[in-house]
Amino acid sequence: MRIAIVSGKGGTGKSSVASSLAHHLSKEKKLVLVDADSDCPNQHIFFKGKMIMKKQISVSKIALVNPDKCIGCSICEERCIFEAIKIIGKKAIVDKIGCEGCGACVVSCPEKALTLKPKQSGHLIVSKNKKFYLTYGLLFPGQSGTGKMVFNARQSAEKQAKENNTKLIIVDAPPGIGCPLIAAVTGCDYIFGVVEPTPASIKNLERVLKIVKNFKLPYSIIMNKIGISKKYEKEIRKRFGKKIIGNIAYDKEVACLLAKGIVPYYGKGKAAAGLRRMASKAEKLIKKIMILKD
Amino acid sequence: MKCGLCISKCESNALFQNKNKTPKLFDKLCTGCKTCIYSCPYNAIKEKSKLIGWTYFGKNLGISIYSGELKPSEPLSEKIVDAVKKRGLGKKGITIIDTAAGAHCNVVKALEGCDFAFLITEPTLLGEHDLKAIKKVAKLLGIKYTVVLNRADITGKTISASMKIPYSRKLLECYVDGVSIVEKYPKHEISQKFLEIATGLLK
Repeated sequence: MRIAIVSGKGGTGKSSVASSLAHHLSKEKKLVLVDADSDCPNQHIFFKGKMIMKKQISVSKIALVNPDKCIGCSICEERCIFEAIKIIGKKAIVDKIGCEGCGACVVSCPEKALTLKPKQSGHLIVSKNKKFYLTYGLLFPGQSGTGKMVFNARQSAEKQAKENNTKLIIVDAPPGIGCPLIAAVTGCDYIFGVVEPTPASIKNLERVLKIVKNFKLPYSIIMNKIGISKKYEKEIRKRFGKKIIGNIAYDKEVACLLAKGIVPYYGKGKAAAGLRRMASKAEKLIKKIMILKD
Repeated sequence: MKCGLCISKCESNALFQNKNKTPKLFDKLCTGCKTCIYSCPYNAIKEKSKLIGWTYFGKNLGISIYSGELKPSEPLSEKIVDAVKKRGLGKKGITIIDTAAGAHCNVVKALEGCDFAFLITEPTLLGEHDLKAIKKVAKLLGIKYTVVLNRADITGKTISASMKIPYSRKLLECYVDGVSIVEKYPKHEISQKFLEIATGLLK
């Protein structure tokens, strides 16, 4: 069973919900947590553990010019749709950040002066804390291939799950609706959407749900930061109604806990209580679905 | 001719071929790089345009606003950022770009070519961690930047920043209502800070 936590908009509380959920569920169940935000992963700040694997991986390529062969004909410059190649001083120069490694220049070069070379994209990390395994990718800044990195992190979670006879995988999805989000929800069985009562958050969640519905996945909604706008809380209740399984109050304590790297589940305030209630509700739901699946 | 050359050249794995069949394209994975077109010895591949999103233009308070929207289920958000930038850049005056969250390629695309960047963070370990990532991106692109710390006073943790925005119920209220604090409460302490920055930028 694979569960993803999504929101569309950043800063709505995905990581707080995911960490609280993982913490709660791990009391009874074996699980693997995937942090699918490979550009800015955060779960390892909450769940410090022993690193059991860290390896450099390559998820993209880069074009390499052999200056001895290049005659500066500029065919590559014309054909690069990413505008990542320029002729400077009669030689082709590749922009390391702009190059997507598609190979259009390589197949176009009449002098065969270009080749594709794998580039080191980032680290794939697996760590183990007292309760569960955490897997995540950490892309080197400015590298492309976030979606593929997420795919790798999820594959290594699948591997850990198989080796340890674990049935539950939780995916903390990245913000946005682009390739890394799609890589995070592909193959999941259930989705939790986190929303805050702001127009931006509601709109962005609706957009993520379009993707979720495309995959025909069942989902529930968790409303976070209750108390910041009555109007939009009403709006969320109107739109999602019975789909809402969690109501979490806006509470400054959460920020204080995040400042120390503590899972907000542990707080004393209203938000922490809401997170705990949400987690036990979600647990019941997950158990039900797992029984149905078996 | 079913030679399979395009399959081997496609770095996005967007082409697929069953034995002795004509290759098929998974259009969602295709980036439009044309490598297959250039590599096909028989000129058998043609290019077709595909809708992946929309860009918008509007005006309010004397500001021209360009924005874009990725069609849900399409993966290539950086293409939309590129399209919005192409439409909106090169106009008179100052251009302000509001990037997406994180340090994903659509953020890199948005930052490219900028003269200056404001890096916004909050005083939590998570904020501090992600700030490091975006600082590296800015350095890589050779963009000068300054750090702005939002909700600076609520956790007791500090991150060095050139501007600190305190927690304010009024700011939250403005955000929810979709108006800027400068417009609604021009006398507010935070509005004054923004004014200071704006005057600095104009100089």
